Amino acid sequence: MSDDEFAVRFKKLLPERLRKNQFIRLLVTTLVDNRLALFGFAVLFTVTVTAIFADFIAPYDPAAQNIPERFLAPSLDHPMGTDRFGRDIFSRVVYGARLSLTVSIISVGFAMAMGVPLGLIAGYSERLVDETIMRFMDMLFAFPVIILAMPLVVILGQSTRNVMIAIGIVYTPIFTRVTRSATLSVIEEDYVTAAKAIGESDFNIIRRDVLPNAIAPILVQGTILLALATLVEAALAFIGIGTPPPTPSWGRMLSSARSHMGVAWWWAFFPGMAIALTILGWNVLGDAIRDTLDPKNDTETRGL
Amino acid sequence: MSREPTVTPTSYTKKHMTLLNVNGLSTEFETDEGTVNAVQNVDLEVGEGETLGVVGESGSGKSVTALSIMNLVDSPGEITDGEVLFKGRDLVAEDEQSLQDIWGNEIGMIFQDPSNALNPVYTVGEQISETLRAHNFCGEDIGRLEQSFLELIVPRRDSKKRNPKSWDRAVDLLEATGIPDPEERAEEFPHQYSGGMKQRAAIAQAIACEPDLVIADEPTTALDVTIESQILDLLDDLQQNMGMGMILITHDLAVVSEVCDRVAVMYAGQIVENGTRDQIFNDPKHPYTQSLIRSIPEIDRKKSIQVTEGQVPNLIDMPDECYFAPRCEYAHEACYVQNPRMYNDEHNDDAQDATSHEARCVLYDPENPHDVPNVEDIQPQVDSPAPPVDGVSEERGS
Amino acid sequence: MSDPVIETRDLKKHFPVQTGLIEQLLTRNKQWVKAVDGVDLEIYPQEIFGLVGESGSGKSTLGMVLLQLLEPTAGEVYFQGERIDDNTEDEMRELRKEMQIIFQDPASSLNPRRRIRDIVRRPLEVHDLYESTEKRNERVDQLIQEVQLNEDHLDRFPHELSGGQQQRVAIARALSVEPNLIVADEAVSALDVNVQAQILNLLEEIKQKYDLTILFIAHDLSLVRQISDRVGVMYLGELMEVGTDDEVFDQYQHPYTNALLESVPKISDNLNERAVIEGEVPSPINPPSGCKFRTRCPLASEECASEFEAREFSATHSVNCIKRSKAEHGGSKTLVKEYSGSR
Repeated sequence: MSDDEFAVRFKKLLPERLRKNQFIRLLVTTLVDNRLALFGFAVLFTVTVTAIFADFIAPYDPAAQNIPERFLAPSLDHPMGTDRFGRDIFSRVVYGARLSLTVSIISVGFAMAMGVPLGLIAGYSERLVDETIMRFMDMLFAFPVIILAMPLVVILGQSTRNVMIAIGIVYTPIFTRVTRSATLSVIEEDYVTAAKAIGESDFNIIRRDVLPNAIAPILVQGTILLALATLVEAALAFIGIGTPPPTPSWGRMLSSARSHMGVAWWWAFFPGMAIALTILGWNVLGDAIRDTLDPKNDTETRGL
Repeated sequence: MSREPTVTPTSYTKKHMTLLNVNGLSTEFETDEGTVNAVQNVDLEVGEGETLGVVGESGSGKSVTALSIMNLVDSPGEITDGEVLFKGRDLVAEDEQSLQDIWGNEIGMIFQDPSNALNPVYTVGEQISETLRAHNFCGEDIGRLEQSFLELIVPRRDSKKRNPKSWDRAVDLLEATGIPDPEERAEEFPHQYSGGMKQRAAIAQAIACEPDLVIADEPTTALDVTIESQILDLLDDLQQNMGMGMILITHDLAVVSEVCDRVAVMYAGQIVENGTRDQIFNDPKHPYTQSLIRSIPEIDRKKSIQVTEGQVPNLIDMPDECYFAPRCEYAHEACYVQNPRMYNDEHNDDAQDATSHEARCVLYDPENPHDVPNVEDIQPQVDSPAPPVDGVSEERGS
Repeated sequence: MSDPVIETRDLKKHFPVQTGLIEQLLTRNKQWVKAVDGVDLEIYPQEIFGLVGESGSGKSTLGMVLLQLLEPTAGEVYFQGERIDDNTEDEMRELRKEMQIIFQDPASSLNPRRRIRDIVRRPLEVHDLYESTEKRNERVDQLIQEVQLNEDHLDRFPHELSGGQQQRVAIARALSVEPNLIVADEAVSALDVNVQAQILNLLEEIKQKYDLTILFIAHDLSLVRQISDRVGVMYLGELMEVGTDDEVFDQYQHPYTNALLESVPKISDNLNERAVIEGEVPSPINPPSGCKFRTRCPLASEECASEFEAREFSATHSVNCIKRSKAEHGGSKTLVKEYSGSR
């Protein structure tokens, strides 16, 4: 079916009220225009469903060891084979999705919750406040995430929670920076001055005029960071300072499988694929969102 | 200007020789909403040394017409019909290579926003000198290195030293366009120039190779009124000295009345009236032309502003009728039968010459005479609102 | 004449030239862009005051400072007799009902993410007028009719409307709080000629209907002539001439006014008879001392370089030039000849 028919049918599925919502319309337009976006969306959808329904999808207990059945190649019984302890890799990959998504979403969410308000304030306020905030952010920004994570984990202890905090802290200045720059350009627009002329308080101006119009680059940055966070989580687990066992983690699986590549290639292959696909999914979705939110596209009537 | 221009005047005869002949030019744009008929069946003529003004509001298609004449229209637009005969060659049919030889060399173009015409990372002198060398105008050619990507990496020696002839001519051109201290100014960057000076530099670049035709698209719209008068003055002087033909595209009728010999009025992608300056201003035929003249406020006196209600139509899915009819006070059944042809008051044929006056309006159909509206009889518009059309922009400069 | 609605005394607005933080701390020299540099202005009730000038004249800045959207650097602003330039934001909030602004670019003056209804209703919400949302919506419906739009426009977004329609929405928004003063900052400059005429007519209508005072800022002299009762001409942050529209357009005294009027392209029979003024506008960072126009003025002499007072030629007409005397009042033709030398 043609793109238009698809759009029309899709829209008919939605209840009336949702149909009018700007973001839903944007989403539909994104998916319709961009088949790649559809692919990214499909991948992420799969990962999400897997993560949520892991308990129902995984055939085996991911922690259940079964030494006699170790190093089995992929088969009908074990679609992704077994590892050194005879644990079913498919089940471990499925549960790994849960960890990966949780860490990436929560850490990026945390960074957004901290970074965006700071960016709004920095962009909107006078120079002194702006400079103070940004120099502080520069300090945080100077740390590569892994370098910051290491002492944090040493001090606070190795856990998923601390991994999320570390990633969140390092990503906060990124959001601050993006938000600040978007804010600076939005406040030049006349409608912000108009709101002031009406007598709106600064808080309301930021809330109703600045933020909705600055959100596009923030969202795009968010998807980029979601992809990165997935990778970072895996990397931290790979070097041993991520989520401790027994929770299945794709990164840790890779780390363990490293020395057994000759004997059991599937042990590294499937978690690796999972990482790659998830990151690809986030990236592609981010591209699609960026294309759609491009100001030239952000109208219903796209003219010349 | 107190300074004499140092540009060598070319020999220039007063005979009306046709420089540019546009016949049936049509351009369309493919968009999501449908096909936009930006330019429809446009016929224009420009003689040597003559200035043709193309007037219209935004949405009239005047800028797209200019681009189409130069064959500069890019996807999603394309020229779908017609020919543009320039010195015997059809620009529509020419290939990219031949066009590149013509652009900047035989046809110069001046745009509305001079900041867009000038590259911010090169000095003004370098840019003009490069234009000269690209067409081998001073006997200096553009280097192989310059034409490749390597030029971004390998630092170039001073253009002044390497290509002295082009540089000198660039400085002369800056002087001719009224830029003070041209030797110093040539070594400056565009951002160091004021708006008026940038436009002068852009004009210098456009006339650098002594083109036969200059197309100026709203050259003074972005400038202050005192600077505007300087620039118009300059264009006038240059044209007289160099014998160039000029097409001046603008929405400002007052500018047209000062500078142009002939005027073409555009509405919704078509030319609706074509005549000499005096004919258009003293005896406007097409009701749209009349409404334009009426709604211009005058500085000499206050007058009650007479308003034409409604808006310029959407250029997609145009009905086969007179496009102005829904807003026209003289509209009647004949106007809705089909899109009218041009009616020439004298010959009723398609021949255009330097003094013909034609209008695309059935009021002038000799077989069906109607009361031709007289300028003095024009009554204030009575309310006939057209329903507002989505997505139509009324801002200037499109 | 009754008391002015808005009055300024020696109003100045200087913008610092941006430098880096270190440079700012180390050097003592600060450079200022003198956008508004000593303006005495009075606007009377129910008049349309046209403020003209080219770019860099400071006219838009003046409009913003009047409404306290920018803080003045020096000088005083009085609104309906009360001094407002030292008001806090909270004090201004109440006053903002009385004074509104319409901007040049209609598209950027409306929040692209909001529907028209929300945009027009918002001032009512901010000032808590009309008790309930339904009553406010009724008022919005009323206002929309007033500006000759209709109800289906209310549910649309700004980008779905044309420039003229957007500007009508801006006018409706400004009217919603029933202000006394409206500043129209180049409000029709970005519109097509036909639409300009429509909007100008609308402004005149609402002015009559609501007894408004309008400050009409523009660079297009013909437009200003059409609509204004009194006119002020600005150059580099100062008022060069102020008077009724006839005084300024027909009996002008100031050489800059002369130059401006001469530069305007006119639909007339006389081609090539216009005088053209030389030179570029000087930088507002380092303007000429005394009379700022003296670097381009054909009448200038040494005495123009020192400070002087503006001259009053009549109760309504004042001119900021020491060369003009009352004896020459009324002779625009004499001034034209003085300029024609360059052609």
